[in-house]
Amino acid sequence: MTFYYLTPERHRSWVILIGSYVFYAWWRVDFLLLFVAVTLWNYFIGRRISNCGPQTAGARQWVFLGVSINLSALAYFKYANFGVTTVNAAMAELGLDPWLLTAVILPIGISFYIFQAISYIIDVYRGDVPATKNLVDFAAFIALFPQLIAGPVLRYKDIADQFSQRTHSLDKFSEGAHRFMLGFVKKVVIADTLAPLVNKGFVLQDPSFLDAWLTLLAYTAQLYFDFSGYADMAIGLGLMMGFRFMGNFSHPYISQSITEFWRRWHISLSSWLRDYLYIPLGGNRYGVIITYRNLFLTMLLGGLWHGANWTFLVWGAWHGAILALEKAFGVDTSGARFSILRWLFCLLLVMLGWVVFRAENISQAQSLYAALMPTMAPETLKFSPVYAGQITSLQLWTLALSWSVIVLRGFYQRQQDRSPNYPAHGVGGSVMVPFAHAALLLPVFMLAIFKLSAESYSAFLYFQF
Amino acid sequence: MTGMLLKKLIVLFFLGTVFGAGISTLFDLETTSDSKKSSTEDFNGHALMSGELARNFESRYDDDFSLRQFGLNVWAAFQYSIFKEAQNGLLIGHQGWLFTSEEFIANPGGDEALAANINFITEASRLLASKNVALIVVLIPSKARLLSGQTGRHQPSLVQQKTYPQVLNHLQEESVLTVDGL
Repeated sequence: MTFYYLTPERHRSWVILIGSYVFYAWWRVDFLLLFVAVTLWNYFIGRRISNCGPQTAGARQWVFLGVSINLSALAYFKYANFGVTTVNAAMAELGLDPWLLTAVILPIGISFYIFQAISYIIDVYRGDVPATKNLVDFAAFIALFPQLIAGPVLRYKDIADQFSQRTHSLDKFSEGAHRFMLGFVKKVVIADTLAPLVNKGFVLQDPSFLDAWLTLLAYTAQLYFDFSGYADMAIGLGLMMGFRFMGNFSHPYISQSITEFWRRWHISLSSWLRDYLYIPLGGNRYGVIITYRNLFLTMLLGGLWHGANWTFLVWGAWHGAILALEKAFGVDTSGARFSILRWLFCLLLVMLGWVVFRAENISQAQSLYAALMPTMAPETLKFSPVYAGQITSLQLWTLALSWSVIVLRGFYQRQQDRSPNYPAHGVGGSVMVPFAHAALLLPVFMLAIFKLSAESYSAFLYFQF
Repeated sequence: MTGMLLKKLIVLFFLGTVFGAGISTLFDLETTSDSKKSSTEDFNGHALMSGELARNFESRYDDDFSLRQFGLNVWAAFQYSIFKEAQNGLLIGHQGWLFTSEEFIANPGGDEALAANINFITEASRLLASKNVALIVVLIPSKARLLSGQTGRHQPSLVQQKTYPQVLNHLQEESVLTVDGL
């Protein structure tokens, strides 16, 4: 940040690029080469598409080639191990010798930067944005370190102008610092405190009804505060460098339908899937059956994007099926009218989905699903000794605080959304920081630093994707 | 005017805490590097390429973080004053008595481990007996068992409570000489 502000404005993309490459190489230097290769490849494809002209036959061939190579890289690094394991299991059933494949290391952030690169070449093909001639700006866009590892998934067309013209001001820096501190607090104070409840709950061999529900409540809150905390930190760092990224969350747990949930959860990914997968598949243009299929396929592939595991496919299928059902039954997904029953039902559906999303395998998910079922057996209506001995008051109070924040902030936001003068979701206008908010945030941020230095660090949950 | 002052305060606070703590730790790393030269001596191309070198540096950075000890103290004080709880692995009883949490929690797979240990002691006793050596096992009770009146609101799990008499009975049934420490 210091180098950035000491560098003349016209060279700042270089500082971002070099800083981002150092940041990436910090994890593994060798995989930086893959990162650079992906960047050069997509820059080249963008130029070729531009030379052919948007939406021409020649451009179509280049975009097909570009997307194919991008997806091939993603498929190899992310899914090769899973594919070979699955095939070997089938071959073992048939009594055949297994394939041998040296375990492939998953390059950190590959799911995010490949998606950003794909969106760029498709946007150039569609004529939504001209292909850039500035390789440094393009490489800096792909590598932009605040969001490199876990999003938000940026689109070149949204921030291309910001590379050439962006403002730096005390207002923006202050807003960024505030957003960063808020994200840090969400992550360290809430998500990391809840992590032991979740980690221990998911590995219980025979969880009781109460074990299962406490684990699920904790995970639902942990995932939101962890991931939205990272997004806040990324957006905050971006603001400190003059960038304004799109918001990635808008109080998802107050949704009244799964359709609304996906307008509020991981907004950059869900809008990416809509624009680059659902619409190219045909969207809702070819009748109801094709629409249901497209919804289902989009979410199935969206689930697979999260990781090479059957659990993610099941989670994607769960959401895809519900989206299709909501469409089929004509459910009001606008979220305009509030019904407490609909809200609770939607939250239940989301939480049931998180079980298989978090489980290491299907059988672990089955064990927790079975425990979540209501039962009158008295032994299941108390915490199992293995779990109970590890629950602390700090964790329980943090859980209560996290759900209070989710509900109260969510409903406050719902009231604000009704106001015609309030900005729409995900579009971050300059926010005046209330004094009371800052007065609370600053000491809690300090406390979060002390907590982080006192306890072990838990990696961000979305780093694995 | 108040708004501008608040923004300046936020920026100063952020830069002060993040950069202040970070830079002071880097100076600490510099001054303590002589005593920890081994990690730099491990430098090689593979460590650099695989990120091992960076992780070693991170580990040293975490250990030498300038606010670490102060942070430990503040967080422990916060947790104790609000929740009467201590750091992970430690339980607070009456009159300041401290206990390790492993004496209270039922460990998954603990029964199997206990059975394996009893079996091992029995086999060892038989082997020594065949060589005319008597094995006498002195069972040391857990601190929570010795000071059961001081554990406060923490009660060992049923599994933990049963462990001592269970081991004693098993060994006596197997004719292993034991001394009941309690």
